[in-house]
Amino acid sequence: MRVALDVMGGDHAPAAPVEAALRAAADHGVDVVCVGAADLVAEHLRRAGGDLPVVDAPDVVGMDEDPVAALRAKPRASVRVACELVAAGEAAAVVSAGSTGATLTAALLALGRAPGVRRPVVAAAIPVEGGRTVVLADAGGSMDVHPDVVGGYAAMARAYAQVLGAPEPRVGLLNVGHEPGKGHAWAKEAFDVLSATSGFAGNIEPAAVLAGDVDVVVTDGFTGNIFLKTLEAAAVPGDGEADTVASLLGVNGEVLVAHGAASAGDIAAALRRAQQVAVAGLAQRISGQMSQAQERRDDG
Amino acid sequence: MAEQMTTDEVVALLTDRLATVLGIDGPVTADSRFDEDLHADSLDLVEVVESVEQELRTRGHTPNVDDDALLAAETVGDAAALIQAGLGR
Repeated sequence: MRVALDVMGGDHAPAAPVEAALRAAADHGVDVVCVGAADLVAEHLRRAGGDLPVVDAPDVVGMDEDPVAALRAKPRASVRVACELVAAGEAAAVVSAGSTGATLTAALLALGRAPGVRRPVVAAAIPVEGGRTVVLADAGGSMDVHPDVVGGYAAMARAYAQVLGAPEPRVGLLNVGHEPGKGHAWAKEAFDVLSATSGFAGNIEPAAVLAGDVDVVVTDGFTGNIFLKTLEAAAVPGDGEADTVASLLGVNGEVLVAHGAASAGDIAAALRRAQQVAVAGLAQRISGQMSQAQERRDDG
Repeated sequence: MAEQMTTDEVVALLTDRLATVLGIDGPVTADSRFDEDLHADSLDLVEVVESVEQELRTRGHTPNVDDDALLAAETVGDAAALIQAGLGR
């Protein structure tokens, strides 16, 4: 299964992504196609003494650009071309370490949303106490969203948690206190929305998330990204391998988002993960569960 | 040459796709405000507009929308007027 790598995305692009592509191909047999400015990519491949397929995508969405406006102005941006390869069936998954918002936007425009999905969500699997995993949604995809999207976030993240091994995932809303009524207006409205969804266990504070009291923690992308980055910054070296790749749930294809500061090793690991989720059909499983939920709503 | 479209016809295309994308049961009209009434942000708007542009191309048009103005549009009618104006360029 071929993985399309946005080699123009990330703080260390294109050098780190190109090195990652060569490593993943050589060490793990990942079939990678590099998507980016062809001349530049060819030069980096030549310097590294490697040879991989390249698809030309001359434009880049910068980390400082508004993703939606930038992708309208740059239809040949690398991240969008990479997503279009999946839409055309020429690749099974996409990996980008570029702007998370741009990756979400490109994926939505190129691949479309899964049935019943109001807004796709970036989900990060966070290792917590007892060797368990908590799914954080949104980990940074949409900064300003209406609270009515959180029901969909919870449903997609629950499906992901089930794939990761939690049979009946419990969902918490990240908040400043566990009592109902806590938080700002957004959190209060999100609480009301989540109260009608399966598995909702109420508000949850960060310490309880890390204790593994829930399987899924839902929040907006702004708060979620700060939460994730705080965990990364506070991680003690030797605590275990940090997970630097998240999955975009709710689009019709496998899309993985690597950290902007990802090293070549991190991106190589993301490419390997992309191959695994493509084989496992994660997007298809999430889509199937969302379809079933939609049918239950329609019947009810 | 493609037949000229009215703003009302573009509104009809937009409202149909907005209802689908946003999963709205209630009416979407030219006066519907993206933010307050539909809870739609710029990503929702662009997804819908790209879908409408694709439909217009199949009808022989060459849509050319002013993106800055589009992203600042407050109502469905505002966006439809911008798309309709871009058809004449």
